Amino acid sequence: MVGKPKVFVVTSGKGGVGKTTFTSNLGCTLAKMGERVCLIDADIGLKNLDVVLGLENRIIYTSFDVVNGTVSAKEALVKHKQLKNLYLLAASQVATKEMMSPEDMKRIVQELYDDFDYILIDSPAGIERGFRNSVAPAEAAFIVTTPELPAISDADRVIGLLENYGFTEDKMYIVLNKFKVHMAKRGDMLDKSDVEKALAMRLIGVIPDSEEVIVATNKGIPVVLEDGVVIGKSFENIVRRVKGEQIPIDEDLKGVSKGFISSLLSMFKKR
Amino acid sequence: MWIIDIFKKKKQKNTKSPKEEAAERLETMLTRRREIVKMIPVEEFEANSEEIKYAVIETISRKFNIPPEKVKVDYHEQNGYVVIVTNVNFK
Repeated sequence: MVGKPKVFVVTSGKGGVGKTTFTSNLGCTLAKMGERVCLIDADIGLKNLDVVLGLENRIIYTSFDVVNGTVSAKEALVKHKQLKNLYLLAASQVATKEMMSPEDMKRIVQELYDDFDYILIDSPAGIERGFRNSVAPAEAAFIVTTPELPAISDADRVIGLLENYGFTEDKMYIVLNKFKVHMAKRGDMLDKSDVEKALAMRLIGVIPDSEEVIVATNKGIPVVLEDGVVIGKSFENIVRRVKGEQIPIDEDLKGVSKGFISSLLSMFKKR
Repeated sequence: MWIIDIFKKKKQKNTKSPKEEAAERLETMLTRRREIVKMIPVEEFEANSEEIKYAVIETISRKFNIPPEKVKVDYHEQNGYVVIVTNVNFK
C-alpha cells in the first residue's frame, strides 16, 4: 500500500457528529466524479450506513460473513441503486465489535484494495475495539468534528491516538461539520479559525448545517444526490483538496448565508 | 422593576461572548492534554538522554510542586521511539 492514500477511516471519537452521513456523501461525491468507491460499515451492532444509503433491504451478507469465511469480501458487496461504481460492505447488527479483529479488517481491505480507487471505512464512536478495527487498514483519516467543545476535545484525543498509530499530519484531515454560519457571525459559536487553532491543524473542509440532510437521510438518499443542494459543493471541495488542489476554505460556505430579501423570497416560494 | 431589568441586560453585554468563553475553555482543556503526547526518536534521545531525563524530572516536580528527588524516570525503546515512564512519590 504505497503512493497516494486510498483507504480512509472516518472517525471522530464523539458520537452524533455526522460520521456516517459524511461517509455516505463523500462516497457518493467520489462516485459521481467517476471513481470506484467502496464504503465499509465498521459500526458492528449499531450499523447505519446501509440505512443512510437506502440499501437496508438489499443486504444479504455482512462483513461478519466474510470473517467467518461464508463468502468473500467481493461477494458480500452491495451495489448502490443510482451510482453503479459505489459499493457497500455492510456490518452485522447481531454481531459485536469484539467478534472482529484489526487483522480481520486488514484482510477484508486487502481483498478489495485493487478493485477500488477509494475505500472509506465508517468508524463507530469511541476509541475501543471498533475504532481500532477501523483504523488498522487505513492509510489516512478524516476526523469529523462539530464546533462544540465535547466534539473538538474528542477530536483532539483521536488525533493524539492516530499519531501514536503512525498517522502523520498530512494524512489526517479535519472536517468541521454542522457549521452554523449565522451563529458564528453573531459570535455565539466557535468559528473555523478557533477550531483550527485548538487542534493545531488545518481544516480540509467545512460542511454547513442543513435541514436538507435530515430530509435526505430519512429518504435514504445521500443529500449530494439531490439537485441544487448547497452542501454538495462542500463535498466536492473536500475531494478536490484531498487530491491536492488549493481551494480556499470559505468556498465551502458560499451560498449558505442568505440575505434578508432572498430569505423572504424563499419563504414565499415554499408556500 | 423594569428599570432594574434594563440595567441587568446592560451588565450582561459587558461579559464574554459565548464564542470567547468557549475558546477559552477549549484552550484550557486541550493545552493540558496535548502535553502527554510527545514522540522522541531514539537517536535524538540517545544524544541527549540525561538532559531530557532531567527536563522531565524538573517539569513534573514543578507541576506537582514536589521535590525533584521524589520523581523517578525510566525509559525503554518501542517501535523506534522512546517510552518514558515516570514514577512520582507523593508521600
